[in-house]
Amino acid sequence: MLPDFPKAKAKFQQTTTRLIDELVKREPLLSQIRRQRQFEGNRMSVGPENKEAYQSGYKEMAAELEMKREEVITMGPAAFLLKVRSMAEQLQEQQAKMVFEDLRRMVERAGTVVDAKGRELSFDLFLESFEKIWIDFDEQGKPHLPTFFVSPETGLRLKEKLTEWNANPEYQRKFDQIIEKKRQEWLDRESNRKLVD
Amino acid sequence: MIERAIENWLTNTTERNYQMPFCQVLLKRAHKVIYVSSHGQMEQGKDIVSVDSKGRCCAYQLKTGKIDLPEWRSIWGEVRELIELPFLHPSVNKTEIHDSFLVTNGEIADPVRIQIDQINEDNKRKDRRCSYLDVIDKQALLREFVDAHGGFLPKEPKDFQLLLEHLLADGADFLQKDKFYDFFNISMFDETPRSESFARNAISSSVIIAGYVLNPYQTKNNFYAQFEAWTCLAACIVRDAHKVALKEESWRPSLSLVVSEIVRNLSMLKEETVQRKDFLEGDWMGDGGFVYQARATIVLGALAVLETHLCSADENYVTNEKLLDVVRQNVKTLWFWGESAFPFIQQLSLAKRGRHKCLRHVAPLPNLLRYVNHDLDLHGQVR
Repeated sequence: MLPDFPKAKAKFQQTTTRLIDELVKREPLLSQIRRQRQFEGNRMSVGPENKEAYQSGYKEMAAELEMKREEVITMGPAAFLLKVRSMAEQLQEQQAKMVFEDLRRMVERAGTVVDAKGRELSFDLFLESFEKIWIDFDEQGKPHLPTFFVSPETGLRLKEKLTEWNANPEYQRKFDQIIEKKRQEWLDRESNRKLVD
Repeated sequence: MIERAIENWLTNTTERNYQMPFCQVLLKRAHKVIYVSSHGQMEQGKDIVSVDSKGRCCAYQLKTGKIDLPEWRSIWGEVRELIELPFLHPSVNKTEIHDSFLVTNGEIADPVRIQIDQINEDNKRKDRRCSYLDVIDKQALLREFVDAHGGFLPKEPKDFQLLLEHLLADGADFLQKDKFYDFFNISMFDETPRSESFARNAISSSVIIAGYVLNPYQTKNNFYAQFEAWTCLAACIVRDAHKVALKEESWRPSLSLVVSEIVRNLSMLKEETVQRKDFLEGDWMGDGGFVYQARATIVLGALAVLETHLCSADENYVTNEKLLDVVRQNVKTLWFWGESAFPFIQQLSLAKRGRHKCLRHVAPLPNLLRYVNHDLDLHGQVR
């Protein structure tokens, strides 16, 4: 072998990995998901209280990086930094896909799926989805409203509908009722919280 | 613990890497080493030829690993040369039959030992005037190396730590020269006043110890790190010999062995360099750019040292054309990153001024320096 610089390369690789990680976390869905590093073990379980936890192992996610010899020679480490964004996008796609798949599995188990059964997007359908979810509130009593992830076409329609619904006082009243109900649920949860085991 | 470390090295190394420490063992036994093969090209079946204190010629063929029957059959031709062909050298008495030794860092299987016995007896019975073949296996080699240590073992915990750091170093990295010097200065070449015999033993032990301390770099074929290490040791030997005013015959043979290792490692580096398409090494991530330029400068500078040495040692020496091509193609890659780059750039320029056509196309030093600093082009014209 020719003389090499393994320590310097290791540092560069660590920094690049951290950079890719930061970029991945900026994805709109992924940025809202809390992350926790697991240092030991080969599986994890997650689930609501009083229900059977969902267990899973780990999935590998990898991004492909193609470099030409001449690029590496002339540009050096900068050649890799230029490709970092595309690697982050690949990982974002894989992680987001995994999140949706896991979410689908979990909501089916929890029974919180709202099946439109081919119905048009309506305010009642919209409220039905709110009925099934938990909503948390902050210290000022403001709700942490959920984020909707929809297809681009549905997104456009939803935007139009929301403008309509906001202008309808009856709809606004029904929505406020749901929110108040959710506030009560939240307060009950908070008062029943086990602080010490 | 030291014995375990030596055994671990001996088990995993090759004949090229234990060859030199073995030569040092012979020197310690008052042999005069008159021939050492280079690049694995043995002459007449002999890797090492020495003359012992009684004037008897001893020839050694070195092997790696276990010698069982299939292996024995594959090397039989070389062994025949070892025992049948005399070694032609002014120091060797041609009327006498030499002693032959088959040396390995592995085991010699019993069927092979039996065959060797039978061959020896048959040769004697039929008066064939062939050399008697003896064997030196791993256990015997280990004994030799451990005994050659003498009293030069780490004594304090921090000295053990230094030794362990070397034995466990990342062989792909650069040699940690400060720690290398520390280890040898503390264990062998310290400042306390010593007798001549102590200094002689220190020098010969240092050569053997260096052999296995460099194990991580040998495993990775990191020829540059080994070149640096042997150069450091050569400097320690010369310094110590002069400090104690040792007679030249006490230390010169050991220094010659060390210099031969320097040349051997640089030659291996040259062989590798001329076969490569480029100077990329290891993981590409983090390579290229300045890293690439630094590596090219270091390697070409080191090879310029080798060419200068070979030119001065042999007036008929001609630089390898492939190496010249590599230098031509990579002059623009050279990088003067700071004062520590100077020796490499300087050596490339010095090689140009050699008596013979070594790297002649490289610019004189001042121009070369200004070239790599982007002031001049290669013909000395301002950019």
